[in-house]
Amino acid sequence: MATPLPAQETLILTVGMDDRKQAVFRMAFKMYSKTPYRLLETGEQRSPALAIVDIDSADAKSVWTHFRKQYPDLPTLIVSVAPLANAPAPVLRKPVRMETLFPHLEDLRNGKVTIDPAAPWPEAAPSPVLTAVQPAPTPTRPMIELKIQEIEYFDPEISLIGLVKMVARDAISATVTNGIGQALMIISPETAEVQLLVPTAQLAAIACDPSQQFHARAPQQPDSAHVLDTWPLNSALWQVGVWSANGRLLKQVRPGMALQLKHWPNLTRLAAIPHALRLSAFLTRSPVNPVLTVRMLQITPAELFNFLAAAHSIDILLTPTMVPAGDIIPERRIASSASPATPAITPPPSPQRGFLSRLLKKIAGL
Amino acid sequence: MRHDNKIIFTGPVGAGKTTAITAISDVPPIKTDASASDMTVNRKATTTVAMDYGVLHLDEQTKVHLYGTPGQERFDFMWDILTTGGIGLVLMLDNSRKTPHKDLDFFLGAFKDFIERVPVVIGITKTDIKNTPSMNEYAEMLLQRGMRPPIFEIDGRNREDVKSLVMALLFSIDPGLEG
Repeated sequence: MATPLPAQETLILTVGMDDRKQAVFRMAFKMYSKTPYRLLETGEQRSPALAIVDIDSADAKSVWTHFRKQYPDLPTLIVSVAPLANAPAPVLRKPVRMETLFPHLEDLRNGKVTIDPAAPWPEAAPSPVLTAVQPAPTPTRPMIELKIQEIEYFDPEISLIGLVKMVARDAISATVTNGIGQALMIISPETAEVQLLVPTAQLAAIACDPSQQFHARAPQQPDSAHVLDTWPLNSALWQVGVWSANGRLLKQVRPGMALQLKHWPNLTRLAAIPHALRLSAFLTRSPVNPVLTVRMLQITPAELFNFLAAAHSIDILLTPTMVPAGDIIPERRIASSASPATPAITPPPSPQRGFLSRLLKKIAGL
Repeated sequence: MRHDNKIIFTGPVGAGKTTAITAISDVPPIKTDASASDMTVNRKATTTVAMDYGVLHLDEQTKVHLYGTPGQERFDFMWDILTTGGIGLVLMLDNSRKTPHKDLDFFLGAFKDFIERVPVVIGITKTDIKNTPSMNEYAEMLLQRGMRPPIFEIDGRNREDVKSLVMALLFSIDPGLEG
């Protein structure tokens, strides 16, 4: 049963925007306390009160035409990087600023804008100002995409992490050795500790070596004489998971498979992984597949795969067999997300996102 | 440009709110400490009876205010005032207290309206004194409430821990942020 909307909530339809742009508007609406604006989410069966149409995509004309056929009378705001002549709706120039966005939305909401459904498609007007003063082009970087044919897989069950997890699960102390009997670590599940018997650099190299074999045996007295360091069990699982993955994807995960974190990992007590905070935030929200994750967060596949392996190691990675069916992204959406690489783009700046980015930079630099 | 640039730190007495703000504030926080007169005297010699204030300067015009709420329940009338315009809530919990899970329930309930609009992150302090509930147990408690916020073990005196907590708050608003 759908949750009834609060009486004063104003739903806004966005058109012609990707997930990142929508996320920016979603956040801006959350920050604006005077009127409870909310983005109309995909699949939500409700009528929007307003619309914001981004016309800067290549097929913007057909987007606009299709939108107006569906919503001929919906008060609409157009956002565009270029000035527009004879626009059929109020135009907000990019970068969108909070202090102009919300007054425009208020005008639309209060009926202060006349809608003309028959107004022609807006054309970009030449702007002498634009010609005379061109801002320096923002450096673009190539889009990172997950190329399915380049993915390397590893089987955690036969890797070091598989054995460490098994010992932890069995809750019986054991010494882990490699194929030639060299003792690598003592795992003590009862005290939730792992004692390292070889230097970490050596252990890391052993863990990612696909030719290595690993065994577990009962701890022996001489093992304890060579303890170099002691780690909490969860920290060890996390780190060994990353080493075992070495930039490869867990064998049981597919690029189009919706994944989610059961909860945030305790990152302040785990080995640092690039983008761990960002990935934890992203993958905790809702199920999403690796293809989309790489594209939306613009992180390398290897970084994502290491994180997934680490999350799997401490049993917080949910796969479709574990995620409730209603939460899984439909396959048709996953398939459409695995499209060929898009050209390099520069994310449009936004004042609120700019503020949060600056705050993030400030905090990170403390 | 107008921003809602306020981060609220809350939690029971002695959980580490003041210490956490001190760890990241650009200036020594304004502390309105006074001698504790009630049962909190056994927990701390001084306690925040009004609020703590710290600040992060982003530039000459832009700053982020860090507000620490008073920990005692009798000052809860101030919590609503302090949260107005906040971008997120940092809830610090003292794991050495008798019933930290009840503290969790209490503060999530007290700030229920606020955290429906903004993200919350949870810092668990003094796990070296008492390590239960564990992080997994906290996560399970929150899952039962339908919540999946960041929950980190924190030493409020450790700047890196506090930084991670605040960064988790920012990424909870937008995982696509770049610093």
